[in-house]
Amino acid sequence: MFIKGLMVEGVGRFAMAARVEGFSESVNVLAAGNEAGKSTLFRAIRTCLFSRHDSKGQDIRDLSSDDSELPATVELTFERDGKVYVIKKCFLRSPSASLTENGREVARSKQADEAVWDLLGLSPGSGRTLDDGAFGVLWVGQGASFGVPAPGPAASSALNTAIESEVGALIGGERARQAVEDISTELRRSLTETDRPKNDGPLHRALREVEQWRAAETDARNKLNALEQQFASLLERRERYQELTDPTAASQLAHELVEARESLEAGRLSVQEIRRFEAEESGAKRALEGAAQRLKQFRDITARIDASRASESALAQTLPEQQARDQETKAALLQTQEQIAKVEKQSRALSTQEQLLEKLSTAVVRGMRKDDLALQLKALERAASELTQIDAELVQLTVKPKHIEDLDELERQIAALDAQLSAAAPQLAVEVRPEGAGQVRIGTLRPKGTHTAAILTPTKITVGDLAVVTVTPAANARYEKRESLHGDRSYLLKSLGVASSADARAMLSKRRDLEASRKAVLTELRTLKVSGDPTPVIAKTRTELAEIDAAITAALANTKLEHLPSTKEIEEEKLELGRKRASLDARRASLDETREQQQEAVGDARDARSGTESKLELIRKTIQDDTALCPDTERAARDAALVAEVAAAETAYQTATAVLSAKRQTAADGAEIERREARCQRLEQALENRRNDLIELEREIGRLTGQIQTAGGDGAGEGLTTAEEQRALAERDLSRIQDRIATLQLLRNTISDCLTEGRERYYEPVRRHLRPFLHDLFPGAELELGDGFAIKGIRRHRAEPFVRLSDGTQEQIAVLVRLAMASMLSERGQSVPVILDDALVYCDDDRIKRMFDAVSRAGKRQQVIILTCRLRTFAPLGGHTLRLQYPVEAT
Amino acid sequence: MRIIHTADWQIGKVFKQFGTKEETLRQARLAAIERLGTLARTHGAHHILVAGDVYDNEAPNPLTLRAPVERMKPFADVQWHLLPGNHDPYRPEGVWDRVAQLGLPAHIHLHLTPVPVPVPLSDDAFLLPAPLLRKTEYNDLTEWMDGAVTPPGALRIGLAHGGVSSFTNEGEAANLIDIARPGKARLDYLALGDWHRTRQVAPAVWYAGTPEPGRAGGQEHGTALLVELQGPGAPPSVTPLPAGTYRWLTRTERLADGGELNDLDQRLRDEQDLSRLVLRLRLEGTLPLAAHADLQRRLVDLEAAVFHLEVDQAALVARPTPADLEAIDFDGVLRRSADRLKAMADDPGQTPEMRHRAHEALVELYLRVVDQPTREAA
Repeated sequence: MFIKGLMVEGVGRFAMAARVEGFSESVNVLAAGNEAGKSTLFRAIRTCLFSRHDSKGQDIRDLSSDDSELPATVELTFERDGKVYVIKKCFLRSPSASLTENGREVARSKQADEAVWDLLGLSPGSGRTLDDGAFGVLWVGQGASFGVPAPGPAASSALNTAIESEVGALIGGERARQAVEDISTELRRSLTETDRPKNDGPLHRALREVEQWRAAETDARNKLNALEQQFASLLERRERYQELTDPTAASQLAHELVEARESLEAGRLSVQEIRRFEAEESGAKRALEGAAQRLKQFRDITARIDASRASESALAQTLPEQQARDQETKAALLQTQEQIAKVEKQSRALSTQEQLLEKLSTAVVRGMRKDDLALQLKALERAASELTQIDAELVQLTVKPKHIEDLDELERQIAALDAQLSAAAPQLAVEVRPEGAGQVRIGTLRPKGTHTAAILTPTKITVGDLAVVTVTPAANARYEKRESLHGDRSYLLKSLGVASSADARAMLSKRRDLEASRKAVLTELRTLKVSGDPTPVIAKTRTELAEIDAAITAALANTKLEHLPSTKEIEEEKLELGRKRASLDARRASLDETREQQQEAVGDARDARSGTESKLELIRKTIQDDTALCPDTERAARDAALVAEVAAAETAYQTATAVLSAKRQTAADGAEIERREARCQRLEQALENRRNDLIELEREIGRLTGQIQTAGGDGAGEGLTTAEEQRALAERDLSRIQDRIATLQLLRNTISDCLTEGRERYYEPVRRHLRPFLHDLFPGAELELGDGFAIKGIRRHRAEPFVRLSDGTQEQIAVLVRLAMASMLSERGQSVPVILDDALVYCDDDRIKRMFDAVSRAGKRQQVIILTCRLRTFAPLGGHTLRLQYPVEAT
Repeated sequence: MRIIHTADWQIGKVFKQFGTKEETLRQARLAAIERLGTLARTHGAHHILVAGDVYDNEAPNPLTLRAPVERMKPFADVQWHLLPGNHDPYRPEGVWDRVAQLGLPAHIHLHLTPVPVPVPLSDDAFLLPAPLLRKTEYNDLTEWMDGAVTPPGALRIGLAHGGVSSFTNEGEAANLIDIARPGKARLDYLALGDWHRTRQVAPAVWYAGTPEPGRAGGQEHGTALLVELQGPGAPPSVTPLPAGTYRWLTRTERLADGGELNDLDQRLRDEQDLSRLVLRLRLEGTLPLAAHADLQRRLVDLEAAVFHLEVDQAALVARPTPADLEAIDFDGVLRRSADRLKAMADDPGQTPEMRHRAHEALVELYLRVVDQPTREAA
């Protein structure tokens, strides 16, 4: 097929008739800007060939021009098998279709629709759908060039026919694919995509079933094992119970206990008897010890009486000597104390002298200050007098610097006004000639010669008696101001009590002189350490002078002197008194030491005397007490009686000891009693244990019986058998499913491998046609094709999945595959134009040149129509340029 | 004196591999008890001796426990003597104490005494029971019978459960019984249980077999023994009586090329009472794929005909013929797949498992692309 011409009217933006001209059998390029209607033309071709003329589908409605009253008309001229056909269809309004062959109408309306399809080798599908065959693959609309070519049944058939004419059919391929699909479907019921058990699939259920029954079996087996253990425990406890309830053993144990208890009782009685004899022996021993104690006490008293009497005699001899010593030390101490009193008296007199001398010394010092104070008082009084006088004068001076400043300001303003008035005032010029001298008066002035003055105020000029000329200046506001300032100055001078400004300034000058004098007096006062008013300091100084005089008078009166001694005399007197003080202090220290020694000697003598007296008294009392207990007359008789008592007690003790020793040799000892007690306890414990064991065994037997009955009632044995069989069944089922899955996997993989190998051979013609195109862009590359001509990947340096390639590369490969398919079909005489609408969008500069090479290669075998808006980019493509001409008159 | 000798009822045995038919088999075991009672009445036997394994296990559930008792109750004119076996040995508080606690009627007797004593069956006949007290007993429990005292001229009938030394390898337990016991203990008859076949092992020593078979490869028909004792020292007259419902048949068939399938099918269908046949069929040999597929169809039909069919095809190999392979395809992908699988199956370098798997895959391929479409087309 080769498209030769196209006319549209009422289609899209072509409301008026437009025609595309210039088609060639090789590469054709329609380059026009955006919205030029290229895609509309593309859709118009498709609609004209593949849509029924009476269709009112959305695609048809979209094709028509807005606001057009005309039907959407498309007329396509094409050549096939050496004949020229024109198919013209009008859509929507007055729909019609007409097909001419070499200028002769061969079909109309529906027949025209279908006749075109027959020509193109297409067949209508179910209903109104149409399989557009290879056109669907090779005609790529705007934005569709990125998509992988996906031939429909008709296109596939055409491609397969082309392939099979070269390599033969892929026998059983479809059945194999179907088998693989069926097997995969069955496997997918059990397995996920990653061959893991699918949730809730048969394999998963079988695994779960096995797991569940294994757990159930384990549980049942545990229960049965527990039951077995319970049986064994029950048997053991019943045997033990039988042993414990054996009457012979119980009787023997009871008999042993009775014997043990009797033996223990006998032992305890003998122990009590021993204790009684021990008590008797202990009593005899205590009686012996008491007698011996009494004899000892008696003999101690008699010995003490004898010793006391010897001590009394010795002490009585030493006492008088100690009493004399006591008296002697007391007399010496009294004498020393008298000497100390005398020294203290001398010391007090010396202190009086020292105090008088100190007062004199103070009076002398103060007398020396009296002169200074008198001079200072004089200076103060003079300064005070000057200050009083200055202040009195200052009071009289009313002018202060501020007043002068105010006065200066008034006079400055007046001078300024005078200058201004003078400048504006008329000038009076009088020339008094010698003959008129003295006759001319200007006011009170008698000018001589030439006199000029400004007339500021009405001025009378008297010329002798000849005339009185009054010159009055013109009225001026400054006059009033000047008068006001004059008034102020006059008022100020009056308030200051001066007549003129000069007086005021002289008064201010005097004021400043007085203030300087006052400042000098104050400076002098500050040298006397007086600030401000000196009057209080003067009064204080006068008081201090009076006190000094009083002190000197009192000192002289106390010392009965007529005048104060000199400083030297006072110092000499102080030295003399110091020497006397040192002598007295030394004497006093010596006497104090002596008194201390004597006081110690008095204490010692007193202690010795009183100690001897106390001892003597105590001994005499002891003798009196002891002789009261043991009179000398009864001493011998009582001693003999006590000796006899001791002898009798000793005999009784020895008898009791012998009896106890004999009893101990025959009675059971403590260890034996303990042994008998332990035996009794052991036998009692054994009996108790036996009773407890029986109770416990009965309880255990009851518990185990209950457990066994419960387990038996639960059907534990039957449960285990059931679980075992269920588990075995589940395992068999699982094994069956796993075997089935493994078998299916092996079968699927085997068929898939064979299918892949077959497909590789089958697609070899496609790859052969594709290879030159592919190598235009990707030298040495090979394409991997899947079922239905699907592009799976490309092998360059390594295999790359198609979907991971960049968008641009995907589009380029997709276009190349289309070119290859077209080439293959063309080679088999089924030439179909390749139409690419706005394709190769993402090609870089190098790639697009290579793509142009590929397109040009394709153009050598079949018609290629390129629609593009990139005029400059596609200029190097070459080919025939299609022209879009409109408006034209519709035919 | 006439007695019915039976054993190995194994009430409560589970048959999970039978699926929904399990309960039918369990009920058949209980029905056998009633059939025994009827046989006793029919043949004038007043005693039924059950030589052990009344129950399948020691801890049956309450219904299982009661079911045989309830089946025996209506036969009050027959004395039922039950003996613990290795499946249900007597242990305190065990299954037999639970049975005793049910309150048994007077005609049901449990022989549980650990130290046995002769039990009078009548004035001139004594039963010498040897109950098992554990699953495995290492002493011959019938030994006590040698010294058991019975009145002079009385019949002495032993009742025990275990294997005899001559074929212990076929018995279930190692509870050995001296086969010479009748002579040593002056027994007129020794009724044994444990072996699931009806068999005389000595002049007065018999295994009764089970009244209702329950395992493949064992007893085909359920059986009980009618024992007639003429008097002390006289040889017993023993008559096997049919007592079961289901027939457990095991067949092994060798196949070569599929030509024998018709004959096999016919022979199996000629078996009596197919609806009560539990058939275990073991198939060996090789079959072409077409015949293999045919066999599978026939087996499906057969399964529907019998009570239960279990087929073991582990030793049957599906070997494709050139015609089978041609049927898959004369060429192309599927044919290459079939050839590849066949090569794998025939490759001695492959593991047996892999070769088997390849066989299975080849059969599957055949079924998918040849057999199934053919049948669907038909």
